[in-house]
Amino acid sequence: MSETPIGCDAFDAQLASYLEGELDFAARRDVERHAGACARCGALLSDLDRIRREAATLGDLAPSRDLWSGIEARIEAPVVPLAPRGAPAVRARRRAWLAAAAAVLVAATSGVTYIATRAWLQGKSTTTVASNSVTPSSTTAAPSAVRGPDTTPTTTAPVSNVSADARKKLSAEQTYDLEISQLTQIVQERRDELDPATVAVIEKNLALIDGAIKESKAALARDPRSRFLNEQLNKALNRKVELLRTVALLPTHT
Amino acid sequence: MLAAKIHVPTSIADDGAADIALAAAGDRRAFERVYRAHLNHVYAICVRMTANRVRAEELTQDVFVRVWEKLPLFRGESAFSTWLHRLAVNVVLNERKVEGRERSRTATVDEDEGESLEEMGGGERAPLHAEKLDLEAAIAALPPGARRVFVLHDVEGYKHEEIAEMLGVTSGGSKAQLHRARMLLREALTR
Repeated sequence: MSETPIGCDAFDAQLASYLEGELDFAARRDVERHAGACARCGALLSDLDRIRREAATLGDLAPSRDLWSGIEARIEAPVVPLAPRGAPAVRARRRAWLAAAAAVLVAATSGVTYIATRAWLQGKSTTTVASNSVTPSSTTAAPSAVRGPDTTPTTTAPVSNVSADARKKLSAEQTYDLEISQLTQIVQERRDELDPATVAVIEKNLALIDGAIKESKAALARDPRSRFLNEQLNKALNRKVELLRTVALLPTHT
Repeated sequence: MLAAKIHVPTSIADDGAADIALAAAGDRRAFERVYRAHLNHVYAICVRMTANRVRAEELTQDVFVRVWEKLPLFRGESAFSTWLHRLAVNVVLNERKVEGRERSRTATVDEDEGESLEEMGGGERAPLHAEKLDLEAAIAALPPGARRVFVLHDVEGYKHEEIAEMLGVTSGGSKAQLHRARMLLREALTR
């Protein structure tokens, strides 16, 4: 026990330990005596104690939007791998997710694109599309439900020069770009076969979708970590693929 | 060593036991109920640790995806809320480590990664006393290191030894950061 009251400097030096309950009885009493006698140090101790008590009673907070749809989409994707124990978490999972999304996209859509490509190629004598594109004819993942018996790959079908493994490593955006590039070529070739009014509607819708893609990419350039923006971009790309596929499969106008 | 404080009301924890078991067995609807019961607490951890609402929402999703993956491994040695709480903290801290590595590579260090007081004072938080709103905003404005220690210790109830282990610092370092945080908060709140 010290006989001399401590000063403000000693109070400051012992304050953190006091608040942590680490001081012995005598030192604790010295701090409390000084706080009782010194307005500045008394107010400081009182304020810090209040902050500590208020922090312990802070309640829960609500996010600005419902997050379930994003969670559900991720846990329902059958090919999303479980992150290995101890793996670097978020960024690595995001890359795995994008790779998985690309794989899902190729697997789920290539059969349909293949049909569209085949239907188009059957009406042509050349295979201009096949030269450097990732065509689905070589994939083994195309769902049988969309690949009819008449669409079994043959030696005349476009042959991919990109391996399945390499394809899985493509990002979702690259995969969409390949699909879009391929389908756009088909649609361009079919323009003259389609009703002009239909072409006008298609072009109007494509312009709207391209606008959405452009906006999403611009927003992503500013905030590349946003999963929401990535999802928005993928949705817009997916809409474009769906529209192009529909056009590729439209019957010729009479 | 004291466990971190548990915010989940007893009734929710009790009612949620069946859903937790069903979710662990793969029932997604049960998992959605588990998510809804614990969402606001997980989000509160994420947003206070990061001081960034957008990132906190992404991290909250990451936490629940992680919960879905790990739930079959939950053996009930601790309360579910304690297990979830620690998992949420780990997800946030892992994100910080990854972000730190990326920042060091790209040399775009931004020491204050949080949002401003005004930005954090947005209207989507649950109704709180005005002083608590001030405290929330002041916490968000703390430097990241001090903020993490303050949130883990004074808000979430972790001990310095636990925080030191989680953050990879010494116990003394955690205490120093805590005192710094409290002093900065006092300065902000009495300004």
